[in-house]
Amino acid sequence: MTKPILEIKELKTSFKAYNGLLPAVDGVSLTVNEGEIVGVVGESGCGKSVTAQSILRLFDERKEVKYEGEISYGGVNLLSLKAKQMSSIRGNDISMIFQDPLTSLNPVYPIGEQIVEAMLAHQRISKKQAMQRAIELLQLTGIPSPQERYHQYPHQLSGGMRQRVMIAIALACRPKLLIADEPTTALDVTIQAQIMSLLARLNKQLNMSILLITHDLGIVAETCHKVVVMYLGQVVETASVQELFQSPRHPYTQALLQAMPRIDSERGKPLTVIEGSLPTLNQLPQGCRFVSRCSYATEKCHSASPILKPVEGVQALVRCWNADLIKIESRSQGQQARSGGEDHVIQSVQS
Amino acid sequence: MLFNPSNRRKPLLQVENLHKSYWSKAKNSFKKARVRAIRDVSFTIFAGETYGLVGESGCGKSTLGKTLLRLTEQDSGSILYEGNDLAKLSSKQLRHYRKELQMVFQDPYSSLNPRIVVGEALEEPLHVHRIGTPQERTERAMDMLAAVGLKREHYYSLPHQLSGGQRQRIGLARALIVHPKLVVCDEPVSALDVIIQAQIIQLLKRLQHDMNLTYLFISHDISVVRHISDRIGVMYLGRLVEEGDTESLFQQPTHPYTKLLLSAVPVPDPFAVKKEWQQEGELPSPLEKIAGCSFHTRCPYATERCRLEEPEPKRVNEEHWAACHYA
Amino acid sequence: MVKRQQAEAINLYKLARREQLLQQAFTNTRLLWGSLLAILLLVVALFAPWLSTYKPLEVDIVNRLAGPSTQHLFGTDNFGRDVFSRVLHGLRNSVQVGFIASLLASAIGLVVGLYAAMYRWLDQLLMRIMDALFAFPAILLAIAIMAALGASMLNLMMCLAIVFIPSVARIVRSSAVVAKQQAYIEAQRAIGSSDTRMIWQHIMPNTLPALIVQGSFVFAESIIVEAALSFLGAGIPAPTPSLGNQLSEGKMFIFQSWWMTLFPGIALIVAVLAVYLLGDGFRDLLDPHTAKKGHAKALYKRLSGLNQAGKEGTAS
Repeated sequence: MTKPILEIKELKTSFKAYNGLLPAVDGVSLTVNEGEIVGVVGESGCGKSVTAQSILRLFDERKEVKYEGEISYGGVNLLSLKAKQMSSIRGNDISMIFQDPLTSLNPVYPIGEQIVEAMLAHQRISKKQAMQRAIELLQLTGIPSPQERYHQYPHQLSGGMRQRVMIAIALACRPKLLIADEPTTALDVTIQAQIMSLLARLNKQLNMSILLITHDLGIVAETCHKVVVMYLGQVVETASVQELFQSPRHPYTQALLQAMPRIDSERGKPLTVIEGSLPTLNQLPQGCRFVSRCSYATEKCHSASPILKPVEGVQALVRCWNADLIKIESRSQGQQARSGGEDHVIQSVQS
Repeated sequence: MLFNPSNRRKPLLQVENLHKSYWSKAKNSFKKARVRAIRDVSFTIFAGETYGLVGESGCGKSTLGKTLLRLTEQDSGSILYEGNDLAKLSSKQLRHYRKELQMVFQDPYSSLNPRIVVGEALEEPLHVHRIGTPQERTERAMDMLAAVGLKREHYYSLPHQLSGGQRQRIGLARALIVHPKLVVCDEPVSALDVIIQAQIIQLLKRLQHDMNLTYLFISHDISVVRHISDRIGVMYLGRLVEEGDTESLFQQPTHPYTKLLLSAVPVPDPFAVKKEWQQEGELPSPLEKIAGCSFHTRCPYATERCRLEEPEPKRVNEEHWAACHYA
Repeated sequence: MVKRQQAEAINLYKLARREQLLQQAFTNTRLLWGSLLAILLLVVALFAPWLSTYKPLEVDIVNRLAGPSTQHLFGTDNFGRDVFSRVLHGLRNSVQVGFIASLLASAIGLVVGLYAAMYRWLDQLLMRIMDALFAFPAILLAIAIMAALGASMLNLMMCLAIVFIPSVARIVRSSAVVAKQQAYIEAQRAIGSSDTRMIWQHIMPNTLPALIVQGSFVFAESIIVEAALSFLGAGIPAPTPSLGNQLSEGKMFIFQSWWMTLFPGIALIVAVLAVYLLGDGFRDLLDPHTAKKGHAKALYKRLSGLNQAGKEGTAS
């Protein structure tokens, strides 16, 4: 059942800067299985969006970027394809939706026509069939009175509706994988809830895999099956969503979880804060990239950089020298620090 | 004011029946339409507390914050600051109060002049209010840098050399350098990543304690507002629809809009019971005129009465009220 | 101590920025040529009395209309005056008129533009006046003003300044309006600073790049308009050398004595070209938008091509 649909191995995406290559993504490996929603989380600048855009090779390879590694989709390495072959993958097998639905839609065409265009580009169907299907798609994405909306222009729709249109365009060719790059960041929380539940429904209904890029751990917890945590261009932890929230292993994942004000936690207790700010890509610390902000850091962390490896007793992969050690510490510490959240978890597990 | 929770605390800012509207071009016509950004808003902020204001974009919460500081002019209503009506002051008289009422802006990237060194930006408010000698100003700027957790070297930095979190610290330092009493924080952490956000929240709390500050904390992020606020007001389409102390508001959300808002927040807990999201409505355009309760177009409990009659605030408990017929 | 450190840091920053600008300046060929020519122009304008071989008004009746020779490099005109010396002095006058006129126009335009951007009612008033001035063709307006004021060098400068104020004011106003909407200007207001301080301390620096560019174009334009006016007889009055009145005199002898027209003509072209190139170069240097446009366009193309794949050719 768990057939991998997309496998990224040691992807390295470097941007050409004035003083050499700047690796924004540095050795990322991840797998998306059929019918799975995989979340990629991290702070801005961690390379999550670059990873997503690298899958579709959206950067100009002649001028600004260099790809290394392997992105295998259905047994084919996307990085070895010619430009023309690549464009038959884009929007057809793999689709993408973006954060800002207004700038991603062409303002001079009615939305219906933009969906039809997307279909006609890849499929041999008549215009009439395409129109019929466009209306079905608008209906599927929960747009009321799709017949009328078909003829409307992007500026006549609200932000939430535009994102639905973007999703409809993305679904036009029945893609097997949808990449959603911060799809709800520009939207209000009630509209966000609508869009996220739409994505979850489409995932089930169409058995379509989703790679969800987000900075919001709440969204990850509610929709994803698997989570990839990124820090400074590297994957620091991959785990199932349950495992990640119950027993985060990497110090960075722990920091993320503890820094978040939670709606379900006990009120009044201070947030646990790690000090310092994100190092820049051209001034990376020696050894582990998180070392400058990590409270568990040892000699070894300063000198050698850890690899992503399995940790005893769990399914998760963690990029940390002290993962086994931290497991014990974090339990005892976690009990105090996140008592509100922890209790909640235990209760839900029992029920 | 209908509910004055208690007389024990000292009110710092009392807003009464505030109205503000502006003219905007309607989407599909050339006629200008009136947008009622703030409609009949009344509330009180007590000295030393944090008053949280939540709502979705376009609900008027930012306009409210700016109107309180007279960065935009109100149409009617009064803004009593320690008993003096700010709305009635001339801009000369107002300058004195600007020292006591300060603002922290959302966007740490654009709220600093890119051409001016951090230290000069910090000294600017002192300069404007003619406080101290140049020497003293520089010392105070240095002290303030330390207070917000930056180094003395940052005095010489230009904004583009700083990270988002550092810039927000500068924004905070600039607001606090004149020792204000009330600080309006307009989405101060919305542009920041979660770890930096936590740093700034903790900093805000510490400074509130150290400098005896009162905050009006405006945000769309309900979790953050819950974390930092003592009392919370919920805004919808220019109106305050529910107000209460944080504990009570989250335990007993009474207005259907507050309920909707709270249930929409994603819970970072994969074991929590997953809810199927049913509500499909959207915020109506602020240009539309809505009779009766402004929420009736999205409210699952709306009745004929809601469509006709504007609801009055109803008391839930001593400090908690909601403007709903069926509260 | 603190002040010294501060001064040092600012100096360091300025040095770094200067280095960066210099680097860009040297890769900017237009600016390079512009400044080379401009320096040449400046040297000529400043040192004309020493560079010239004769006095510009010195008459040599014997050698009237003589062709270029070692004695008279550019030949002589119908009064036997040395064309080379007259061209140098003409350049000197043109540059002087252009420089002072553009300086005046920039200064007044800056004030008008800034205050128009700041106050709505003033905006209506000032910009309508500017529109009215703008509606006249520059030369017609200049002739009208010169007719009213009478021909003299000083009047010419004022006249040119009036003609070019609207173009400066418009540019300044539009960049001031953009600057005014920046959050840091609002932050400034929240601090409680006065309007005057806001305008001059915070908004004005944002308009400087546009002002410098526009100012240099005005400089070039005023040299042209001055020449045109002098050619028509409404500019610098006759015996005083100016490129315009030399061309005017030369046109009568163009078939016998081509040098009377050619050399002032070349001088005019070089002068205008120098200032134009300089202005263009400044724009590339100071206005980052023109440089990055191509990049943004490419990005949009790729993004729009994604969800409407295959539409690439037609969509953009």
